[in-house]
Amino acid sequence: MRAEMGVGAKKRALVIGAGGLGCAVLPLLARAGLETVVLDDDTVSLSNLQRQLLFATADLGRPKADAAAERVRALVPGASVEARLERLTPEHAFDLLEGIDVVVDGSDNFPTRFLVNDACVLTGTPLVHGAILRFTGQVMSVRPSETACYRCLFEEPPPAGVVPSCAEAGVLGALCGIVGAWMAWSATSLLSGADAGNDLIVHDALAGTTRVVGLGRDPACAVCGNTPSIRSLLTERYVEAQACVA
Amino acid sequence: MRGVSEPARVVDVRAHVCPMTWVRVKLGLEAIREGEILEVWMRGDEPLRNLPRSAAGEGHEVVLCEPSESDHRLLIRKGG
Amino acid sequence: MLDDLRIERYARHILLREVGGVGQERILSSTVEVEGLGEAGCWAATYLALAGVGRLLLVDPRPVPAGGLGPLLPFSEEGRPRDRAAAASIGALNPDVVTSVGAPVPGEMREIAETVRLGGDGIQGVYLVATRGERAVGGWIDGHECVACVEAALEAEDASGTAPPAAALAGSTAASEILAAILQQAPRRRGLWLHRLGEPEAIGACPHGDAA
Repeated sequence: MRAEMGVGAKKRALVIGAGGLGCAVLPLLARAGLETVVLDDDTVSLSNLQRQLLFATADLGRPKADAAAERVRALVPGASVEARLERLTPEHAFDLLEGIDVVVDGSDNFPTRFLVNDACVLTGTPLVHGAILRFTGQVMSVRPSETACYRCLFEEPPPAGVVPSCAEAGVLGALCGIVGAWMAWSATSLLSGADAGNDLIVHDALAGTTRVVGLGRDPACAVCGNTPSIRSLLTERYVEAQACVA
Repeated sequence: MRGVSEPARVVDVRAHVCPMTWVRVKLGLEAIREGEILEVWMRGDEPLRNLPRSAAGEGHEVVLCEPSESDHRLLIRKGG
Repeated sequence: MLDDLRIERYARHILLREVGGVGQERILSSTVEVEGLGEAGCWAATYLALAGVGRLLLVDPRPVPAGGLGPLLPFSEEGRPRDRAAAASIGALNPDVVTSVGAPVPGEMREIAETVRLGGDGIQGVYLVATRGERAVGGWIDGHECVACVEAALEAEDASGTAPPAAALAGSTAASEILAAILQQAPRRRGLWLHRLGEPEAIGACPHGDAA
C-alpha cells in the first residue's frame, strides 16, 4: 500500500513504457513537478524515432528507460526521473507500486494493461490508461473501486492476432502527443483530488474528432466489482500472447 | 500456372523481420499497377503466416503461397 | 527518396494504409513554417520533425527561457534564440529535416498565438494555436481571424505561462492536422476550437465586426 506522504512531499508517478506515449508523458509530468519512475526493458530502435520524442538518432541501441530519463533531466531542471530497465511482472508489481501516487500506463500490449489495472485496483492506486493504434487514441482515468477500471470496460484480453499491435498496424506519430497530453493532464487531475474517471476520451486524428464515452464501475467486474474473483496477481492470468516476433 | 503473368516486381524479405517484411511488401505493391503480380521471397514461419493475411487484408489477392523447407514464395496480385 | 534507413525510420507511418511509401514521400517533400516557438509551437515542431517534414522553417528570435521549453529545448539552451536552439535539437532528432531560421513578420495575432503554415506545392493552409494557463485554442484559419476572439477564448485564464499539457495538446494537434492535410491533399475542417480534457468546444462566429 502507498506510504503516507508528508506535507510538501512531491507526488510520484510510475510511467509504464518509454515508447510513444511514455516519451510524451514524461516531460509533461516532470514539468508539472512530479517525481517519475519509468519502466522499460527495451532498447531504442530506428523505427521508434518517428514518434518517441525523447530519443535522438545518437541514442540508437541504448536502453530506452536510461535514454528517456537522461533527456528529461536535460530538458527540465531538477527533474527527478528514475529509470528501471525492466518490465512490469505479476511477481514484482506490488513492490513497484510502493510509494507511487499515480500510475500512467503507456504500455503496448494487452497482458500488461490488464496487469497494471489489476495491480492498481488491488493497491488502490489511481491509474491513467492510454492507448494508440493507427489514427485513433484513447485515454481513461481510474479511481479504483470508485470509477470504472480497465477491466470494467474490457473484460478479458482479446485472443492473439485479433487486434494488431502497433508494430503491424502503424501509428501516426503526432497522435502520441495528443494522447500523452491528455494522459499527463489526467494524472495531475487525479492527484489534485478532482472527480476524475468514468470518461473514455476517444480521438480520431484522421477525422479530427474527439468524443467522450461515459463509463461506470461494473458491479460484476472481476477485480473491482462487489464480489471480485481477482484478489491477487496470478502469473498465468497475464501470459504474453504475441502475434508476431518483433 | 495458367492465367498468372510474369511478376512485375520481386521483393526479397528473407533477411527481414516483422514488421519490416510487410513494409517492404507494401512498398513493392505500391510500385506496380493494379492487376500486376508481386513475387515475394520469405524465410521462416512468421512471414509465411502473416504476409498472406496482411496482403489479403489490404484488398490484394494471394495467387500462390508456396512454402518449402528453406525459402517460401508468395505471389500477390495487386488489388484496387 | 526512401532508402533503407528511411524505410526503417518511417516504417510505422508507411504501415498505415493512408500513408504508405507515397504518403511518407509527400511528408518528406513538404515545407512547413512554425512561427512562434512557445510551448505549443515546440510540440508542433517536434512531431513535424519526427515525421520527416522535409523543410521546417522556424521563426522565433526570443530567448529560450530559464528552465527550457517543452520537449524540445533543454534548459542548457537558456538565452539562445529559440529558433536556433530548436534547429539544433531537431538536427539531433532527425537528420532528414532541413531546418532554417526566418525573420518574424510583425502583427497583433503574433503577440498571442503561434502559427504553423503548410506551404510549397500542393495543399496549403495556416493552423493557429494560442495558449494561456490551462486553456489552449487551435484550428485552421484563413488569416482573417479576429484577435479579440482568440483573446476572449483565452481570457478566462488569468494565469501567466501555460500549463504544459494544454500546450502539448494544442501543439500535437497542430502537427497531426498538418500531417493529415499533407496526406489527404485536401483542406481540413476550418474553425477554432478550445481544447479540453475531453471534447473540444467550438469557438463560435466572430461577433466583433472588425474581422475582414
